[in-house]
Amino acid sequence: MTDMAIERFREILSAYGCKEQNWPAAERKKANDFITADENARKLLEEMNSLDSILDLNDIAQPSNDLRSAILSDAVEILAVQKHPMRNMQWGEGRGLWSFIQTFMNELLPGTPAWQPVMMLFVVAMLGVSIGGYVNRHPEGDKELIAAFGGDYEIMDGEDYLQTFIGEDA
Amino acid sequence: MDADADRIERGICVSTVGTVKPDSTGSSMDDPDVEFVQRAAKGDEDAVRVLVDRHMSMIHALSFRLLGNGQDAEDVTQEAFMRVWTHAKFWEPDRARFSTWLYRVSVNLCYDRLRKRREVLTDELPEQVDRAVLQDMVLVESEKSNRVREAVSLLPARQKIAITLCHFQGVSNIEAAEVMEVSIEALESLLARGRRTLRKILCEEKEELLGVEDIGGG
Repeated sequence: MTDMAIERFREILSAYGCKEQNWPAAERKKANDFITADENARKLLEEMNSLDSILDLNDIAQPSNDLRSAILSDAVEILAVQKHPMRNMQWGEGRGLWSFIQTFMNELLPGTPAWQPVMMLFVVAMLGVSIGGYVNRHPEGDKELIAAFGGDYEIMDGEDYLQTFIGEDA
Repeated sequence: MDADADRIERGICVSTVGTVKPDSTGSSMDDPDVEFVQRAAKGDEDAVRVLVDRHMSMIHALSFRLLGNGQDAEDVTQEAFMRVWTHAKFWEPDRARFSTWLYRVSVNLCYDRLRKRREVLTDELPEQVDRAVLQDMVLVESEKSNRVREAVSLLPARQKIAITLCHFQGVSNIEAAEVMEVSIEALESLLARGRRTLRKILCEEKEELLGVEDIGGG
């Protein structure tokens, strides 16, 4: 008596054919025990063996020697580019500024997404521009503005603005 | 780049088989290629040669059987390996076997080419099997091989892939299911339907092919 039913054995042959090595590894032993124990299983195996024999007539041409050389050549080229991306950077081949920045940043800070240092640089630059603009307010520019409004225009600082228009003490 | 191939590349060897639990035949734990992929990623040419020698013939044979054309098979094989080199440094060995991932990339590349040829991609049986190509040939050995290949080429794409992986390539059912992103049950259904169709196509020629009278049922 075996653990396998004839229905499952038939399913295995229908799907995987009659070659033992193609059967599911987990069921191989059970199927072999079933063949040994059951005459119907042996008949079924014999009946269904022909298709496997016909399929085995199909042989495949070997790949050309050039293919192996081409694959090895690709490997050398691609892996060299990955090892030294800046050295192999080619401008004007559709790689663009962002690609250049990514490559540059990857060399500078390996493993860090390029947007992080780029964003950091941008924030620092904006901060610099803001501070610079505040520190270097141009007094001559204010006078020109007042003159342009006929002398009625007055540049207020924040405290004056609150007292005049909001009525709050600073 | 095709969506399938792109998805496969971005999610390198992520198993999406669902009901399939890798066992000793499908696990990456005993994957003999892991060390070589890691070394190749660092530019080790010896490791590159080992990977090529281990897998090139299998990928070429798979592509040849699926595409039926030597030049296309070589193109797919070369492209599949280019993706190996491109993605080697991102390789995550705990996800799946290297061979599974390489098979999946190759199958997807073949899919792309089959789509471009506008071949039938459904799982339905072809209504009319064109047997004209299978008739009136003198059966020398190479022609017997061609006749079998032509019969396989008449199968719907997914049945053809399933039979190519499991019968011709000797891939385990678990790995084949993982490559095709289907359950074991679905794989067995594809295999059974494919073999049934092949039996219908080839039974008329059994005598010529094997010198016997009938192909068994099932």
